[in-house]
Amino acid sequence: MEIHHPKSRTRELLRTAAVEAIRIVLLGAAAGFLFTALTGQGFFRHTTRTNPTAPNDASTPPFLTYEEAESLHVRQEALFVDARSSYDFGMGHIAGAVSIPLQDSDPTHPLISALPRDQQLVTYCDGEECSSSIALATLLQSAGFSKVRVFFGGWNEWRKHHQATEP
Amino acid sequence: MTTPQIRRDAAIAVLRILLGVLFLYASLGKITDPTAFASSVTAYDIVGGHAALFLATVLPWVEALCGVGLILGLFWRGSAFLTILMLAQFTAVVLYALWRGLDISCGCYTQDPAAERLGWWKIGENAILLVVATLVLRHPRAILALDRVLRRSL
Repeated sequence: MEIHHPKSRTRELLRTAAVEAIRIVLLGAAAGFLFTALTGQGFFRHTTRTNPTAPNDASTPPFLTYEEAESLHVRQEALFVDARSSYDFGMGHIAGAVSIPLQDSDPTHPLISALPRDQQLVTYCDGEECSSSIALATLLQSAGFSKVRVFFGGWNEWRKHHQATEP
Repeated sequence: MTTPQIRRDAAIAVLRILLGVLFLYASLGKITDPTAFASSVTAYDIVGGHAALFLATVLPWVEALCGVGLILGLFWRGSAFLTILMLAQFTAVVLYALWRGLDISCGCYTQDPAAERLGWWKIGENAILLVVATLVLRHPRAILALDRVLRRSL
């Protein structure tokens, strides 16, 4: 009959657990990267890059220049709405802005339903390369907001001018 | 095997499976939206950028595999060991966030920033889970475990 010393049993238990744990972590990492690559998420997320062909036409909300956006921000006359993903928002955003990622936005979004319809809103995304700010502004307009505008220069132009950002 | 031993084995198996279900459940929301989970990680203000994205890519899958491992009793020692490591790390991070007075969402079971605000209850919850995971790891046998079936067939 084999007799195991308690210390050697604990050592054997930890050795087995550690070897299995390493296998699980390696498998988890492989699965994580494969899944995000196949679904285009995380590191493999693609940003929509479509330039609007006709800004300020009748169907899209008015566009703001940087100076106009800055003026509204300084005077706190408008609520800035970030249309980018919550991850991008977390990485940095215009000070005081709220996050309504385009993919999560619908008229029943708690923030959208809570805001007064005459609230002045300015939507933005990364900049000229993205169009989610326009899509969000259009959605907000159709939800009944009458004062929606798009800061088309977006986060990139805002940072270029060293304006107030968070965090 | 005596009746008390069988009872103890059964109780540990139930705890193991419940712990597995909890970890599997916690991983699902993170797996389906890694960007939102990376945002939750960033909110703790410890890591950000690519490090947060890396964690958001790998950690939920490790959680899920541990969950499945504990439920099926496959690699259950490694799963319990990793569960202990993850819970210890989560607890340290939550303590650090509470110490700094951060009013953020836990990001543990849901990625909704308005839900699951951090609080001391989270430390208590993690402490209970740590005890359960340690009991599972230290128990010499596992019943209702695929490991046993596979070892026998080898």
